[in-house]
Amino acid sequence: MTLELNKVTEQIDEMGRVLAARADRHRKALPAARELLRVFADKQDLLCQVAESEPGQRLRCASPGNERLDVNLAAPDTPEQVTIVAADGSQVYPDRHGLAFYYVINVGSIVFRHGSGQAPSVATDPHLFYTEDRVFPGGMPVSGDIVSAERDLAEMRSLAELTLAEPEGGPPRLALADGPLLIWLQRAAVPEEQQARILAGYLACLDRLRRGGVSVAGFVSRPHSAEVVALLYLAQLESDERAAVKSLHETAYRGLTDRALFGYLRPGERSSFFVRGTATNRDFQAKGHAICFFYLNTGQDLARVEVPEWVVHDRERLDLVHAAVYDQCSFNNGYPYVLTRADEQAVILSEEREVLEGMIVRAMARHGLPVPELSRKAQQKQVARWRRR
Amino acid sequence: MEIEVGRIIRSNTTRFAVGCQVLKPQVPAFGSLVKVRAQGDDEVYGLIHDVRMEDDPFVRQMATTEGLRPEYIEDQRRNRQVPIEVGVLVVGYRHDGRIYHRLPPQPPLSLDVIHTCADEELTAFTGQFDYFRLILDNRDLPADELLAANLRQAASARGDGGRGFLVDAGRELARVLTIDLQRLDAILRRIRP
Repeated sequence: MTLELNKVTEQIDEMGRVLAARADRHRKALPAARELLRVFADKQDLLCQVAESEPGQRLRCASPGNERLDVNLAAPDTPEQVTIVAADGSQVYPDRHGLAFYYVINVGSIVFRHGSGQAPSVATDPHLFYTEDRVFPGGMPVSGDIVSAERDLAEMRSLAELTLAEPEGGPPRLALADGPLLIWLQRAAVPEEQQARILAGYLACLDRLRRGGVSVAGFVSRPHSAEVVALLYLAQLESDERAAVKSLHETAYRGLTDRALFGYLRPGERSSFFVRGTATNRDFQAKGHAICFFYLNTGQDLARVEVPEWVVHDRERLDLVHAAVYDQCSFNNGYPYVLTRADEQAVILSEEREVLEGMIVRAMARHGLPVPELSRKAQQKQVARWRRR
Repeated sequence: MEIEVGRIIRSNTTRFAVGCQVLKPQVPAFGSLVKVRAQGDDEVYGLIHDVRMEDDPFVRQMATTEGLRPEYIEDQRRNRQVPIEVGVLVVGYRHDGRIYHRLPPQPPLSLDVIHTCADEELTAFTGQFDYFRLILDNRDLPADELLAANLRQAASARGDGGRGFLVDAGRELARVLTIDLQRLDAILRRIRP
């Protein structure tokens, strides 16, 4: 049977009502939050204390930078020439019901030489992982979380290699990643040994980029975080009241995002920058790569742009990120063109996966293995779903 | 000089389609005579009757973007996998060195390479006019325009002999289209020197 829509109509109606009530609650909370942004605009020291306090850590509060919190900074002019490199990855996750236990990571990339008049260079870098150390690390089947973390690392390696391959004396260079720069590694399913290896590889890439004199940024579309909202909420409380707050979820600011808070930014404008408040950032900070962020009105959307601390402390680099990312967005419906193209290169279509699996089956047969089969579960799913393909 | 147009993406006895990524300055031009090696040493001849650039939502969105810089345009044209499709109408073939103005025994195969024909070969192919019917019978194509374009190119390839060639071609058309004077008139107007 297909989804019987008549059985969910009441739930859909209820969902609409709940969403409207939530939007109404956010509308009412927003002016107060913006007023707090104004009140605490130049109280960076106090806010830093709040962010570093135990409740501040618990709520993952961002820390302010050295700019007024309520600024809205217009996009600087984009340099006449700038080289923007983007990389994005996709994957085929391991499937124990499939024909073989393997996974694929494919990184698509683009080197876009703004102002050159030339066609950008595009490439893909696919890798098949099948050896025991990769698919059974520590004797356990590799998880989707590990593959995702490996993909993040592969993207950053590709970004570093391609960006640093551009001539040093040429136009300024910007490496742009899709999503947060602060990769999420502390997953239960990623063994600590793997986390350490991936994090070390990732930070080594950031080291190389910093030494190479380039800028790097991560673009987060439609972010849901509330690190600044949480900071402002705690800042207005007395110390003992702060200690009692377990989560932003139990306050009047429940569900209010930073994106809504900075919704007053006009196209091209960015907010002040902040330092991310998650625990992972301490690992980055220890290596001199604390991840900071600002909000940017891309013309069609409000995005979060993440940059390492050495970018925000170099005004030229920070301006380059601001200008170049906005310029890219203004030609592509509010999203960086280079990221759209890197994704287009990277994506693995289901048809391509079928061809790949056919090739794997033939390779196995050529080497004397019996022709592999899907698991009985996967076979029966295919049989039953035949009409719906 | 022969120039590679692209590779066959589908074919049948009467027509084939060629995929290429970037338009070269000289080709593909409407009415150009092209050839492809078929089975054995045979070559199949055809006329380019259609050049189609497939779009997608990304291209459509970019088309409405103001102030688009050359890098974006070049990326869309050269890098994105949106091939240009060239339609070719089969008008004859060469077997054992001899040109026949009729449909070939077999169509070319997918991924065979298509080349334009040099002036000498165009002159040789258009030395006879028996291929007119293979063009004029295609009511779903701009057949009159196609034939006229081909005749103009063939005349140009003959240099000073081009005018005499067009007069001869006009006579043959008058014979073939004797019962459709309006159509005859329309084609003659298009090839008038």
